[in-house]
Amino acid sequence: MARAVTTQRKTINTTVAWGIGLLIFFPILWTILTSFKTEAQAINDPPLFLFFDWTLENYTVVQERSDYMRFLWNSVIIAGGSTLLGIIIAVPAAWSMAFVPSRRTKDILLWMLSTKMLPAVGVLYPIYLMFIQLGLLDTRIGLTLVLMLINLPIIVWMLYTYFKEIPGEILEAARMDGATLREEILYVLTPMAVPGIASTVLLNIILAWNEAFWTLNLTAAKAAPLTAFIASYSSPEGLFYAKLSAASTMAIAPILIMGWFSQKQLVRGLTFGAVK
Amino acid sequence: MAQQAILKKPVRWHIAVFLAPAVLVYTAIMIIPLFGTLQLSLFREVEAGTIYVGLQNFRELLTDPHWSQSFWNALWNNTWFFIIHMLVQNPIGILLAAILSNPKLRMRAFYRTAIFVPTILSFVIVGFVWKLILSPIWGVAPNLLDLVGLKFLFAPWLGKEEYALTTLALVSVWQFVGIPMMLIYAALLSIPDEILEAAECDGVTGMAQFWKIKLPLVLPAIGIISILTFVGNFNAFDLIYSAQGALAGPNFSTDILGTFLYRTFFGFQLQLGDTHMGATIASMMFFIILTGVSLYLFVIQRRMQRYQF
Repeated sequence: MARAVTTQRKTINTTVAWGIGLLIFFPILWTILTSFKTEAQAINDPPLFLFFDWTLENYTVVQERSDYMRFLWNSVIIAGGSTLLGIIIAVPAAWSMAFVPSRRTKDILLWMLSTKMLPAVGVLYPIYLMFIQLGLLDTRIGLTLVLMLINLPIIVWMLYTYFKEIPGEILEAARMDGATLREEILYVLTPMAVPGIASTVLLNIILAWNEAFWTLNLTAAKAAPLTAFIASYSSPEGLFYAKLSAASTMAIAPILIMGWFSQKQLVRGLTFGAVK
Repeated sequence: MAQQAILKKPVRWHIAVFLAPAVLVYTAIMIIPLFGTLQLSLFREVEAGTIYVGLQNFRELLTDPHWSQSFWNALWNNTWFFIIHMLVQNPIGILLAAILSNPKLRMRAFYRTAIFVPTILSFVIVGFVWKLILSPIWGVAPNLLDLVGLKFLFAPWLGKEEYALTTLALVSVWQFVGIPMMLIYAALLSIPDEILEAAECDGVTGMAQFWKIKLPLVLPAIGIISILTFVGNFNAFDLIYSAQGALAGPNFSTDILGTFLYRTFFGFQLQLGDTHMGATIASMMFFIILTGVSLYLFVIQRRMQRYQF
């Protein structure tokens, strides 16, 4: 009897949880479903949930008409490049903060985080001017640089919390055995830091991939990534729901896959390490 | 003496070299523009050139009807945006975390992922997805409400002055509710079993246990969420911009400080951009956020530490 009640409660609990989960996920699910409909079916009244003629037409049309691959390529280069650059700059900095802390370490970390308190719109104008002077407007290099800098505090902060967890004694032992600084970093620290660096890379790719504010303002045609592409597509409102859904689905697919595997690390990064 | 010289640590130049790129590059391209913005707010363009006007720009922003009307409107909207987040996001986050921490839950990973997915989407996509759903003509929302017999409740929420801001705040809550859920979930898990066992021995179980034991213990997590929300909300721009445009329609009813600043900086249909007033607004936002964060760090967090172990 007792067991029967438990099973029943378990089912109820699970059903409620799934109900809420589905409700929250519905908008995204709806976008994905809409992307497989024809334009007429997309705005059909009553709405069609599962029983419509599934078609891939939207995907091919989006690619043909607007050269989706070019935007995708820009996104890949900008997100990948800014992450790579950020990691190269941040690893040594985080390393020295974590293993050779000084009185100033906390100050430097706060110094870097301080700009996260400022509205991005507030520094847009000076950076915009700087970009015009340097001829970086609407170039992949320029956007890569800006996105790297926007996310640099998060990268440094995250790497710092990960490095902190590596016991310093192991590094000392390596030094006692005569490892040089280079060997110590390459053969002792790096293998232990790989999981931390990997999740930092993942978080940063997602953040750079999603970044809309800077990409919309600093690019026009040449260097525009997917976020700018979606924004440009949605201007003739109400038209092309199915095609815009297809474009959105293609833009979020890589993020959904990466996000699925890295939720915990994402939370850690998004809350500046408040959750481990 | 000689021994001391050997023991004395060598100057570790590599440390400086390691730190330099991150700190220097960052300072040059991010911090200097920040001070540039703060500096701009103290000057003004006149026919003879740029002159120093002290705090005149701030006075004008707060009192001159030409500016102050929009400013107070944006500030109030921004505050309302924040209030909605605090009132809706935190209770829902606690509820979701409580469900997630329920040991009877099956398929936990699926549930957690479904709720967390919106957080990792771009604002541009979120704006489009919700327009797709809420559109009064083509959207699916009226039909869904009809299914549960609540169709009379439907209104073109994004297009009505009285609803638009609240609707967008709720969309933003939808997007970010995964973060409070995960934070509170982690806090709930870190409550030592002994405490809960002791409570059970004293006959405190179920809802009473939640209100009297668990909730006070997760308060610090709620504090962190609140300050992150505060900073995020007063910096917000993207969602409003991608859903309603820089004019923050209808009739400026969704205008928050971020969009107001953007319009002022770059100008819009009826008005030329004004760098100095824009910088003044940016500085105001900076000070508002700084005040909020300091208040949290020096007043609220100190009191909360009493609860921690």
